[in-house]
Amino acid sequence: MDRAERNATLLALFMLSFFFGLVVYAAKGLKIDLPTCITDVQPFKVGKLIRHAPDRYELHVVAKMWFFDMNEGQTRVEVPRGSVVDIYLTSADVVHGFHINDTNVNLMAVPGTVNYARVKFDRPGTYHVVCHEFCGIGHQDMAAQIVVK
Amino acid sequence: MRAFLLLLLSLFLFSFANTGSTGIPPNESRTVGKKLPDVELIDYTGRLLRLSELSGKPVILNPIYTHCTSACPLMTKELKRVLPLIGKAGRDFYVISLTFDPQDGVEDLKRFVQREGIGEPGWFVVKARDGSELFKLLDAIDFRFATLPGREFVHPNVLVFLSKDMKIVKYIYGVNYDPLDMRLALGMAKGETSPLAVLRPYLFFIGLAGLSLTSVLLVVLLSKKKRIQAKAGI
Repeated sequence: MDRAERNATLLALFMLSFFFGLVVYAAKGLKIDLPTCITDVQPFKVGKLIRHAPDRYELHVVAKMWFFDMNEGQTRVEVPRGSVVDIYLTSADVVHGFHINDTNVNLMAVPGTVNYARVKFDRPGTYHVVCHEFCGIGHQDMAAQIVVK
Repeated sequence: MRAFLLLLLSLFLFSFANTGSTGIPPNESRTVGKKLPDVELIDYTGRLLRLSELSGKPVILNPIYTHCTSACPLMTKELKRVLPLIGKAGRDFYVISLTFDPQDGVEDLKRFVQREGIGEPGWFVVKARDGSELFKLLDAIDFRFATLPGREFVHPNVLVFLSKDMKIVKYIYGVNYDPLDMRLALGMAKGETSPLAVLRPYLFFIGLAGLSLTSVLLVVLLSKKKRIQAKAGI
């Protein structure tokens, strides 16, 4: 192995492990939650906003062509400021996307499985939800709103 | 080579053998070692109970919901079988069956106690005083559940071992408990530390350092060999 080649390989290895270490540290230190996929339950058929406590909600979202069923057919839900919302997402037909603007929630709605993410809404306002996975002719109109009061 | 591949395959298969948990499992790296908040609980007789009243002995905390017909009764039965093998509830440790269903009332707890036949003095069947107390406790052990139609829940099947000063020590998953595992966990909760338990949080970084150093060493060795060969004119 040539000296320059060896140095390049060593440098690459060092940088790989350094950045990998950083990623792990950030995930632990910044408490970043990864979205989780639940495959051992029968996915729900209707969207629902369930209130467990004044600041604890469960949001079941069914994505279908071409809208988000957030709460029994509605595409707009309201939660109080400071709420912790557990979002469960599934799809009734094809693969859809689910991105809540201004948060790091970015999920994929896959038929037959349930995807999960937890988010805390600290700032009041209207959070727009868009489908960011091309899903057919009505894709560009597929959106919903989470209003934080 | 073939034997090695077979070994790898069997290890791979074993990795699925004991997943034992459903729903979203707790993130242990965020909770183990942390102290639980002193929440207010209500037991099945309606008596108010603070979690701190149980400090001084290890605690085995088992989140359930009372009208469960699958995993929760199984876990309770299994606890009734295994606990006498590792000690006596009330003398050596306390057991808490905590309902995480926010709508469960004292009547539901009573029904659960009667149905499961729980009578040990150190076994508490409790609910949290209200929703905020409940989620304070559930967040502390990172317990998450999903609601299904008909007020059923998807949840991890888990026992949480707490030390005498209410710190989280160990999680045991599943609905079948091995007395040896339980005894070890209880030992940890009593404060008997093993070197492995001390090393555990650092294992990942030790592995990472080992992997990088090995790769560096390999590259250095390989380059040396090539240089010697080049010098010899091979």
